[in-house]
Amino acid sequence: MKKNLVFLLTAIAGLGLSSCEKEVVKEVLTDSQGTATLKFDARYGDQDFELNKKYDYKLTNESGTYNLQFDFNRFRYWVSNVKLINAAGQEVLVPNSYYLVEETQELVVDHSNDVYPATKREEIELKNIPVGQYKSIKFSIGVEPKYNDNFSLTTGELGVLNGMGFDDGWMWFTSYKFLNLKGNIYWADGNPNKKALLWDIGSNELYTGAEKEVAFDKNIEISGTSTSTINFNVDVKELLSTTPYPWANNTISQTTKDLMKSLRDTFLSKAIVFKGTESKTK
Amino acid sequence: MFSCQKEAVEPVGPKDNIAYVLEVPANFPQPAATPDNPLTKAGIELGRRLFYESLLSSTMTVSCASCHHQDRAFSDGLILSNLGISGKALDRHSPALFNLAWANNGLFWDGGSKNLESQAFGPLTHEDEMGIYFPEMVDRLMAKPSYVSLFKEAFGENPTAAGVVKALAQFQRTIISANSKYDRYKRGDRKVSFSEKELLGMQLVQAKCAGCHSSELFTDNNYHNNGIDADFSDDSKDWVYKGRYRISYDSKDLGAYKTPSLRNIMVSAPYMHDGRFSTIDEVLQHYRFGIKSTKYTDRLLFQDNGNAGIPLSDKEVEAVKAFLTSLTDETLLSEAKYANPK
Repeated sequence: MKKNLVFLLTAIAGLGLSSCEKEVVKEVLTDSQGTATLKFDARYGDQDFELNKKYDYKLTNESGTYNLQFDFNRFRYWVSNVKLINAAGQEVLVPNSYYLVEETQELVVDHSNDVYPATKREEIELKNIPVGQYKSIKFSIGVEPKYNDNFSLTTGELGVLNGMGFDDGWMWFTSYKFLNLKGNIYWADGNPNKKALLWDIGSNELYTGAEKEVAFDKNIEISGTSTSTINFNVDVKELLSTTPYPWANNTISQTTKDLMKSLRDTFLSKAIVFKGTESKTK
Repeated sequence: MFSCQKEAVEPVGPKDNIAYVLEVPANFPQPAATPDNPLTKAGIELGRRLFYESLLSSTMTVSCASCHHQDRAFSDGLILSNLGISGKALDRHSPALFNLAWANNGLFWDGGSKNLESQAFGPLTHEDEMGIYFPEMVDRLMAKPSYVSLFKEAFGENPTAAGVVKALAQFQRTIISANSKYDRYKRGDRKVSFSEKELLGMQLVQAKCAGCHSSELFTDNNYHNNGIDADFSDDSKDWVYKGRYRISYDSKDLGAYKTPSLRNIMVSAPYMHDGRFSTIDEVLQHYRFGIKSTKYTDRLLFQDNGNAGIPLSDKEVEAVKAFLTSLTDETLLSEAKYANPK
């Protein structure tokens, strides 16, 4: 009898008092995640970096001192796998963190009829970061092998439609360019007195060792009510110091693997300079 | 009493899609796994449809099948095709397409593409082939309800460029050639007999050609300079005349190109990366008498006495040709499951 009563009560409860089970849509609760801004301000020494503007470069090497000039029509690079390290020392990988930082003229994607528009982009918004205090950041320059080896796999902003595929996009070689600097070098005593500057970084080997870690001057806070900006200068003049012979080495690419590595290392260790953080309430 | 009204949920995702297990011929090695693009029935069927779909070209007149004909083992019988959207001749001959599930050492004649998925981006976008702009391609596929549901079934999402190349890759991986007279002979089919000439040809091919045309695949899927050229100084056209060197930057790869399979070779003329030899006779003539000896010429093509060339008598040439004919797989050339579904 007791057993039946229990059963009956349960049955009634089941009929009348339980609510319908709805599928719970997982929403990002706004008070558990936040954003931060990563800013890469392109510079040339103490000047602002602009396309198609001539900059002086005093070169001193074993052979002497030379007055060169440079101008640029393209400066583009992938920032990938951004990680924020919290106050407890744990690494938080920003999801889908592949971003194209760039300043470029309009370019035709090679061997196609596609035109990529003139673009300047220096700010990255990092999203879906768990709230908390963070003391440092890590990021890589370039594309990891998983994506570098297969154009059908993409994440974040990565893709083949922006002319960062090998050789401006002609896809006979499955690989992205990690960094691309294009422009001209001028030397009044040279013959000819102007040469094209074509400096690239690419290849799976160069993704190893492509990560930079920077400790903040003070912890940043990420929350639902405050956001932070992490500032870097990217000094193209420092990048030119990759080689003491830029005039002779006006092309750095897959055919000059050692120079490509130097370019990568110079970019990471000398050109990208931490400039501090700012926090503000939203 | 409360009633529970369930919202009608539109089926999304490959719930009806089933995994497809490649039928590996008994005498073939196991193909490499493709975890990023597993074979499914719906993916393969979508890929087959897309292979024959000229909407994938900017002018809507060129499909993959325009240069890859089933009855020629998916080559096109042309030296350098000019059937792309611009009418301009290409720089390389259209390769035959079969047994690609085993071609994991690079695609294109110089092996620059690392997988079928990435390879398709080349001809799809090239201004002299299909010249498509991907957002346009996606718009066209989205405008066709039959494609929208095929993509949903195969990948659980709307049409994308990534879905297109993945489906094409899946279809191509199912194109297998392993049912030639040679295969049936090897499998002990008592209805098949080899003549003395064919047997002699088989021995000769195994002895003299298998350095590159090795295994039951009749290719090592590797790169060799077979002495058809001596000068590799031409830097034009993105180094297209330098062979695999433009990929590896290794000087030993100057003038080296992918070993094609000998399977179906008698129906897939012309030959070499630029289609320069129109007949097998010309090919064998080259190997007997025409090898250009440079420091890049593969050492496999040299005899013990240091001379370049593969010695074959006229009688042996006839035997080789008879054997090569036994490698023609009529099933591949006419099988409905590889044909245009329309």
